[in-house]
Amino acid sequence: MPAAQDLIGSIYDAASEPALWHEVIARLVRKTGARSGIFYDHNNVTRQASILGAEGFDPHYLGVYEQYYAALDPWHRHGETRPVGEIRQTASMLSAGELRRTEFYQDHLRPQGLFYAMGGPVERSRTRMAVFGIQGSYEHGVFAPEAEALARNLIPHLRRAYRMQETLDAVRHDGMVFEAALHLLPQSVLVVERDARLLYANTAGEQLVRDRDVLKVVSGRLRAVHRDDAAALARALSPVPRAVDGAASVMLRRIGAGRPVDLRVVPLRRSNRAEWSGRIALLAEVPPPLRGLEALAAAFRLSPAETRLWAALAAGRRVIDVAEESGVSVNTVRVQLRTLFEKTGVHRQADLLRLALEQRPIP
Amino acid sequence: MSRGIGMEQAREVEDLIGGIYDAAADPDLWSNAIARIVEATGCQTGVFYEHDVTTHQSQPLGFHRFNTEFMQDYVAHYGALDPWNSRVMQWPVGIAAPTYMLMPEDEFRRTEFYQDYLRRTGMFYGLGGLVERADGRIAVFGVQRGYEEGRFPSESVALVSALMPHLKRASRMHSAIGRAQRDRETFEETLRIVPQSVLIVDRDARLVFANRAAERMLDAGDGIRLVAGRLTAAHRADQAAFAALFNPLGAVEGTGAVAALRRPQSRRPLMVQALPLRVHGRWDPAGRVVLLIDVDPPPPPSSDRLAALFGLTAAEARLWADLAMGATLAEISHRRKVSVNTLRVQLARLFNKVGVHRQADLVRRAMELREATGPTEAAQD
Repeated sequence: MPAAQDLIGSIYDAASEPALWHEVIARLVRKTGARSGIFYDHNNVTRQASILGAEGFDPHYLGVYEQYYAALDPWHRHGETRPVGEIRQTASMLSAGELRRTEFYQDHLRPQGLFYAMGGPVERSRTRMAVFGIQGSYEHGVFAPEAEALARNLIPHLRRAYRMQETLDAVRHDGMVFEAALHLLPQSVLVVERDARLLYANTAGEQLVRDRDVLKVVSGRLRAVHRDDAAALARALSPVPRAVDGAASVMLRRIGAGRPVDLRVVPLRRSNRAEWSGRIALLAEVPPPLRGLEALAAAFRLSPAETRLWAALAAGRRVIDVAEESGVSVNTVRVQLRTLFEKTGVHRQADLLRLALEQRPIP
Repeated sequence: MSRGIGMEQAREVEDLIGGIYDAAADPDLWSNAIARIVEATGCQTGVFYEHDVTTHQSQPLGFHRFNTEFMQDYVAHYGALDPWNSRVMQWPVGIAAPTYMLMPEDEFRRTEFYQDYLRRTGMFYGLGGLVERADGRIAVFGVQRGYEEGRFPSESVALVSALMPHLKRASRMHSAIGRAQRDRETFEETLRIVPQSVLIVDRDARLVFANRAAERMLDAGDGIRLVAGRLTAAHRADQAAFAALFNPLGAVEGTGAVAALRRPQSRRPLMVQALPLRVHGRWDPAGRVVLLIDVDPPPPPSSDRLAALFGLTAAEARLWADLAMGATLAEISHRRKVSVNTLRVQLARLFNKVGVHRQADLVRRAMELREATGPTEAAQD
């Protein structure tokens, strides 16, 4: 009995560490005297499988199963309509004669020396089905009642562990999506614990910390580089910011030349709750967008002539200069300018200039 | 026959184990899982709690038939006095033992913990142990019963021992899920509060996420609107260009694709940058795109600042500030009730003092000053 309980425990280990599914299946194969075993996810749309764990299969056959034979597997097809958690021997679903006539048997099972199997659906959703099964040779015959009972007892645990894995995967994946979006922001974003321990820095934030001219990390904690700012940063992070909506700001000097960094200090709240999570976000100012006039021109769908005109105006030239230099009449340039106003939605040369200057040309 | 009974018992134990893992996924189920163990061991009460070894603070994960007030008393005061607790800490992890192994019954009866606290519940015997010991914290599980029910049979001790590794794994899974949720929450909340509008959108322009600034923008219909769950440009003429942002071929690596959208109430167009999402170095298979909207740039320096920097008169500084905001001489003349000719004279002096020759250069200089001097001055405040 403890052996079965140990096996059950290993199923839950795999829920938080999916690489362990192989070991779970291997132990199950050993306990049931099977030749091989498999736990896979079948995609109902693509009709392809993705293997969570397997034992006793040549990697080649696992690969072709995922890509090709999953769609042809007659055992899987019979399982599709069966209730979740039901264990059945394949011999009770499909006669030996029927199985032998299938491409699946002839080209996939036979070369592997497999004939009998037992298993069932572990979990099913609209688009996916998780299935577990063990296989044996023709000589092995159908599986013994003890093996069947063991498999039946394990199925609720496989299902529970599979669901936990799905939950954990979904939470982690959502987190990674939000994290990836933070990395795309042009400004530095840092997150610290209440004791200034640095938990997270986005790409720009990592750079800021690596430059070590404003902020540095000392034994895991965020510190101001400028001696006179150390106290100000510590003050901004503590006493513990109790008011969740109370955002403070701290100005940190840069060592050497360069502008100081204005950091907004925002206590992070728990999702959908007013209470403070114990973590604090530090946000630097948003720098002007790094974008050339070409990208701007593309955004407004300007013609090359209109783009050149805009660039010339941004460089301080007048309409009359542009006409002269490009050998066209002032009227032609005026017409282009009108189109430029229309396409950008601004109505003054000063606005065009401002728009161009607000971007940071790509170096 | 005996084999059948063995099977039956094994099934019962496996069900108890299942209940423990249900609680790992959903902490509300702890009291249920504990109730079943209490019943299987012929006990009255049960508790699973974490205890901080340095602060002596206890935090119940779940309990059965202890009332909440009683648990609060334990957390607030009696947890620190609990003689079983201090003795179980010396006990090996994962081994269940009855409390009379930890401390003789007579000695226990004389403790303040029993006299002032446990006695009220009618409990006298406990069975349990250390589930986990890590980072200055211990996790303890125990079931209890009264004096009349007597000492525990060896089957009960064996059962609780068998459950210990599962309680340990379940509490670890519970913390792993908690950690993942906390990280997700941190990233989401941080994204929510950044000043620029951030939207996450799938390849069909369906909105997946909008931060606070983006929600405000969508509510105001400011350049982008949400129609039946999908984003669309507020101005009809911009809709095709906006839709092109979700075409993966249109996205340029690094800067991404940019669209400029007309806004109903502003001279400035809404600049929308589309960046394809990369999750851990791989393109998102769902083809999701992050839309970043430019924040409105800070206003040019105030006329007071300009006056101070260049030794201007108030009128000259005001003229410069107005021009920097995009006004024409005619407009300024109208608004300030000053003739265009007067303005031209002021402008000439302004050119002279600033050292430029064109209005466009004044606009440019004002923007440069915003860049170079804004925050430094604030730092000196």
